[in-house]
Amino acid sequence: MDICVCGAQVPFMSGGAEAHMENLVTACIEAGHRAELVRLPTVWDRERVFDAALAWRMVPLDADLVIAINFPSYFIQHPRKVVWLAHQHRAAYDGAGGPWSDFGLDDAGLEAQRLLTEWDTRALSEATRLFTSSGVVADRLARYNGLAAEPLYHPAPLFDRLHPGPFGNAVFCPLRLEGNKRPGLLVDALTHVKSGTRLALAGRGSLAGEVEDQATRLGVRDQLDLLGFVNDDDLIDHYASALAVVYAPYDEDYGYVTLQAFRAGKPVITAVDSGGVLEWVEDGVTGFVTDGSPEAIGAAIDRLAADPALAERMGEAARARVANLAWGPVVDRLTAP
Amino acid sequence: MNIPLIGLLASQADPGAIAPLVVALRKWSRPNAVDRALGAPDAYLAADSAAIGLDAALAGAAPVAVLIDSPSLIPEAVLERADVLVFRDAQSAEPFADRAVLFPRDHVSTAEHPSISPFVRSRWRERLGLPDPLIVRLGVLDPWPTDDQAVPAALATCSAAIVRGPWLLTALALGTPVITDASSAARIGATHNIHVVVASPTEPNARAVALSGDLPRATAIGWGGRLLIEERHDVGGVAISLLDALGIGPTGFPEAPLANLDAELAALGTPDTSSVAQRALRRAAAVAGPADWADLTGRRR
Repeated sequence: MDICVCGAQVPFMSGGAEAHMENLVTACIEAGHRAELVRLPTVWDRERVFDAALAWRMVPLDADLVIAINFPSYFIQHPRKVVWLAHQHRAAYDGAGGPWSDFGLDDAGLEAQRLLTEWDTRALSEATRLFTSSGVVADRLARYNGLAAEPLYHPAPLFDRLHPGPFGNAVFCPLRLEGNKRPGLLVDALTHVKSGTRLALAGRGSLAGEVEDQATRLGVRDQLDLLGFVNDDDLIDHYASALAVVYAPYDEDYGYVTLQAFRAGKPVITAVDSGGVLEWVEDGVTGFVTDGSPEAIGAAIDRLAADPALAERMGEAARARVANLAWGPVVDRLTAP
Repeated sequence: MNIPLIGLLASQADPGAIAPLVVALRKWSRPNAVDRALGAPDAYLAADSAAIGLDAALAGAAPVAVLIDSPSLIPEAVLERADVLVFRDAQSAEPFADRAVLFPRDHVSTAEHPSISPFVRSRWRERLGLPDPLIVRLGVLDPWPTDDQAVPAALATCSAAIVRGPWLLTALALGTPVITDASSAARIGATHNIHVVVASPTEPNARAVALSGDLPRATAIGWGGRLLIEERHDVGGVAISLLDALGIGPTGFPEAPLANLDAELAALGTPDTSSVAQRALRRAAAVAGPADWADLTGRRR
C-alpha cells in the first residue's frame, strides 16, 4: 500500500526523531509498501505551535495510510490515520512551568495549555489506531488526555551493527549535552568513583563547556574523556569496549542509548526518574536502577568495575532482553487492517 | 455572502423556552422579529404552534420550523405544512425523524463553557493558590446555588465535583470529573465510568477523593462527559441542526474562502474569541482578500 509517514521538521536540527521516521520509511519499503516521509516545519513557541498544527490540519494528503509520529503531525486528517506517538509538545504537559517551557501560569499561558490539550485530544482521538513509542509516552497520554494507547517498541538505529566486545575500564555515555540529559550528574558521580574507572562522554550540545568546567572544578577532568561528535563506526566501537553504559536522563521518552547498550551486551546504570529507560533496565539483572544520586551512580560503577563477571552476566541478559526487537513486526502492527 | 435572516414568530407563551436557541442561532444567522424593513426572511421559527403570524408563514414559500411544546396537540396545519418540528424530548421526535430536530429541555452552551482538563485545572489551582485536591459539592445538601459566575468558576478549577440538579450539564461541559447519583445520570443519558461516576448517597465523597487522585481516570471521564454534552445537550449543535434542516445551515456555504479553515477551528473546539482563531483567520484573510468575516467564513463572528 501507499504509506505517508508524517512528522515534524525543525530546520537544521537532526536527532533521534528524524532517525526514527527515516527508519520507519525504510522498514515500510522493505516490507513491500511504497512509503514516503512528509514533514512540515514546526516551531515551539506557544503561539506558533498552533499555526503548525493548523497547517497539518489543512494539508490534503492522498495515500492508503498515514502514520503520524509526533506533534503536530498527528493533526493530519485522513480516513485511515494511525498515530505512533513519539512525543507530544511536552512543554505544554509534563514540562509546563519548567525551564524549557513557555507555558507559564499567566492567563495566556494557561489558556494556550487548555486549548492545546483539547486540540490534541480531538486530533489523537481521530486515529484509527493509537500506538506510542514507549510505555512512558502511553502513560502521559492517559494522564493528560485520557486516551488509551498501546506501546509499540522498535529497534534503535545501528541495531544490526552493534555487537558485544571486551569489558574495558571505562563507562560510556553517548548523549546530547543538554539539561534534560543531565550530563552534569554523571560528572558529579565521577567524584564518588573509587575504582579509577573512566567516563567517556560522546556528543555535543549547549552544555559542553559547562561540563568540562565542572569536571575541572571537581578535580575529575583526568577521568573524563569528552569525545564530542563520534561517527557511527566509532560509536559502535565505544559501546563494544565499554565496561557498562551510564545513562540517567530526566524522564526520557524511549531512550535509544539503552537499547543500543543492550544490543552491544552492556549493562546500563540509570536513575529511578529516567522514564522510558526503566522499561528496559531491570535492577540487578540488566543493570542498576539507582536513586539518581551521584553517590549511588558512582557506587554502581565501582561495583561493576570490581566484578567484571557480573557486568558480563548482566550484559548477556541485556542482549537477550532486546533480541526480539525488529522492524518487521512493527510495520505489521502499524499497517494491520 | 448573505447571512440568512430568520423571522421569529412569537406567541403568548413564555419566551424563555426558546431564548437560548435564538442566542445560539445568532452565530450562523440573523434571527429577528419579522420586520418588513429587513426584507423577507429566508426561514421562520415559531415559538409554538399558536404563534402569531404562523398561518401566513406556513402559506408562504420560506421554510418554517415550529417549536412543539405539546406533542399530543399539534395543529393539523402545522403537521401538514411545517418543514421542521422542534421537539423537547427524543420520544416525541421519533415519529417525525425526517423533519424533527431535538432541542432537549436539559441543554447548555458548550461555546460558553470550554472544556478544561484535570491537569490544566491543577495548574489553575496552583496559580490561584487553591488547595489540591479541590472537591466542589453542588445540590447535595443545600438548595441549588444560583450564582451564575461563581459556580462555573468553581467547577472550572476543581479536581472533581459532586453534582446533582441544574449545574450538572455545566459541570460536564467544562470537562469536570463528575460524581452524581443514578437518577441524575439517567436523566441526561450519562453512563457510569464513561461520562460520570455514579455513586450511592453514602459514598460520593470517597468517590470524589479517589477520582481526584487518579489523573488518567479523571481525565478520561471529564472528556467523556464533555463529549456527551457536545453530542446530546449542546444548544449550539441544536442550532446547526435546525439551520441544516431548514436548508440554510452553515454546511450550505462551502464556497466561502475560509469556510474550511473556520470549520476546522470549530471542530477542534476553538472559541471564536480565542487568539489562536483570530490569528489564523487574520493570516488567511490576508491572502483571501479584503472582505468581512461573514464573506470569508460564511457566518457571523
